[in-house]
Amino acid sequence: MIDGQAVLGATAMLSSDIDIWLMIVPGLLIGLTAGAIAGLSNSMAMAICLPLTLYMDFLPAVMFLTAIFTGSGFGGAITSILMGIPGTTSAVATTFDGYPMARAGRHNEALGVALLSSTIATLYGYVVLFLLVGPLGAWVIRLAAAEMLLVALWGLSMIAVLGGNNAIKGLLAGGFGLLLGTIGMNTSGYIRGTMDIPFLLDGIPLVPAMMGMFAASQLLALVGTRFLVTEEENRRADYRKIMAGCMEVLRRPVAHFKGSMLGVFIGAIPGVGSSVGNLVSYAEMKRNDDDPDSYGKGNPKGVMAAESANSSSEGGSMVTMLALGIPGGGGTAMLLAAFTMHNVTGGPQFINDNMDIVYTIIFGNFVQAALLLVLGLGFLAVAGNIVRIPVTILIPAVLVLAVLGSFAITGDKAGPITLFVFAALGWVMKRYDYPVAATVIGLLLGRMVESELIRTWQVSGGMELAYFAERPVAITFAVLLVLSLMQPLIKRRLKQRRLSRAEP
Amino acid sequence: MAERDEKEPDDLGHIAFVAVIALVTGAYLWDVVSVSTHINNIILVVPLAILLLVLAAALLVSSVIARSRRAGAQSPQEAPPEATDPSETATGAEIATQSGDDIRRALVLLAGLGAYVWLYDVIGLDVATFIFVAGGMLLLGIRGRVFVPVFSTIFTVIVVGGADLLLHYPMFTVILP
Repeated sequence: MIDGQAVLGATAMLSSDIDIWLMIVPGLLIGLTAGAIAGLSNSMAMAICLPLTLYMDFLPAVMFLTAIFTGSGFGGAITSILMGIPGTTSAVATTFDGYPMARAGRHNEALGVALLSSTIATLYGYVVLFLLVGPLGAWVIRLAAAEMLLVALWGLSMIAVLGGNNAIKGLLAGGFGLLLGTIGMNTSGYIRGTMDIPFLLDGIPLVPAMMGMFAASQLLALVGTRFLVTEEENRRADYRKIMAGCMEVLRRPVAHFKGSMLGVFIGAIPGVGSSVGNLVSYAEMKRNDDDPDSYGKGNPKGVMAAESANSSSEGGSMVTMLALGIPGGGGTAMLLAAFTMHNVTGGPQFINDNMDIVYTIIFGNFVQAALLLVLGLGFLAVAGNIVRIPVTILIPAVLVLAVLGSFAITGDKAGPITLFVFAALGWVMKRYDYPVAATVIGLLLGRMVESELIRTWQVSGGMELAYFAERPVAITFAVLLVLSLMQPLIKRRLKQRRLSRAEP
Repeated sequence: MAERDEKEPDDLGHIAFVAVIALVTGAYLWDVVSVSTHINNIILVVPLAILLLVLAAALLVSSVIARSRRAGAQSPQEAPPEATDPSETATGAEIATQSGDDIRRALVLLAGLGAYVWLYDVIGLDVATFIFVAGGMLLLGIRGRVFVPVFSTIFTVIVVGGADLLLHYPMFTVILP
């Protein structure tokens, strides 16, 4: 189950490379700050910082990005509690009880609950990853082209259908991303859609495109928002009360564990992730509580449920990303892009050949979770000021950083031009409620899907049904793919049935 | 009534956006087929492009129907009932959260970003960065005769100077060394 040799290798790597450790603290601080600024998100902070990882070795780069991921998990809770505005989409449920607690002058207690919930839940998420990644690796290595193709299509369809409010728009967004991902020269040597632009021969530059879609488009969508807070009262950190909040979590280990495991499980499903996990965990906690009416009025258990699920989902999403090479959302898409930038291909082959590296990432994240507690406590002292940074100053400044970052990736105008085009596309998509993450993940998977499809066609002798009949895993994923595509219809039918039963 | 007037351009914008997606998809499909009709070239792109065109057509039709229904409704009583589940809404017009003024400013900022991207190697990265940051702040409502130029200058010196130190690519600057 656990590869002892790889564990030893990971320990050796961690003890011999100081750079890995040096990246954790800045990453956590960037994540905490980005999460605490309403409107910014973990994927946006990771997108802006992605070009910096070009100057790092692979492991420090991954550790830096996962630290941003971890930090923003808790950072999002700060605005949710202090301002009632979710700092990130995964902190929506935190506002339900966190903000009423702040209004009642219990913001320190709420922040304490959120901090310790996030810390322990991050740890749980990575412990699950540590236990599962070995057996999963042994299983996924047996997957052939047909299975990988169907896994990728299933993942993308889940992101497209569940990631937005309208399934047709989601499918159009995901499919369009997939189509754009095939631009350039394919594995068989055909050159398509380049419009005689030389840099498109290798396909659309992924990282600038992701920076445009996640970061620049979000900044454009924030035009008209200020998020300035004028109230000064109840904004100071009181560590005695914060510790009392932390104790609240320790008094309810079972409830916290349940919320965390829900987060891990939901986080592992592509397209669902922490945005849904925190809401499901909150609903479950409320449903099973003796006093459900107290939720929404400042119950610390509500904050604990939301924060435990959104933090543990990071480990869950890493299970899918590392084992299958399928990013479940924006954060893991950024990590996969960092893998590509360092010429590392995520997926079955990677985890089987480099289990020591996978364990190094996991162990590094154990330390990140512990450091989050220390840094988070210190950060709370300044958090009251950070939430007051006007977005109007940040927008042009961060856009410049994005342009320079995209220039750093390509070394010429290809990066900034790609960033600009995808910023416009992402902004329009957001405006009309298309899931941007689906397009980005389609863009990431385009080449892989086409290559696996060609291989499947060749191996199966032109998609002979007999070939698929002998592949139960492929059939399972094909069924899952069909079910995920039919999910809106099934949901509508169930709703109609519920309504007709309710009528006398 | 005022609300409906606000929403009508959104319908048109959504229709235009879907039409652009369909046009790009169609053009790419045409390019792929003209390169070669070998299975290794068309195996993914052709079925995917056809699916996208079908989805775009479905969205276009539903958007046009929703728009004509709204236009046909003379009073709030005649308007079609609001869908309660967002997944059941025909268009994304209801989703827009930025006001008309915000959208205009976002468009100007986007145009400014385009100009910055295309001109930074002509007018110098330092000058372009200063103009973009200062212009962006003024556009977004930051006022202050001292704050805007001082912040923009300090930001430009730190960021462009830092990029020059970190990046190994040549960067054209006019004022900064």
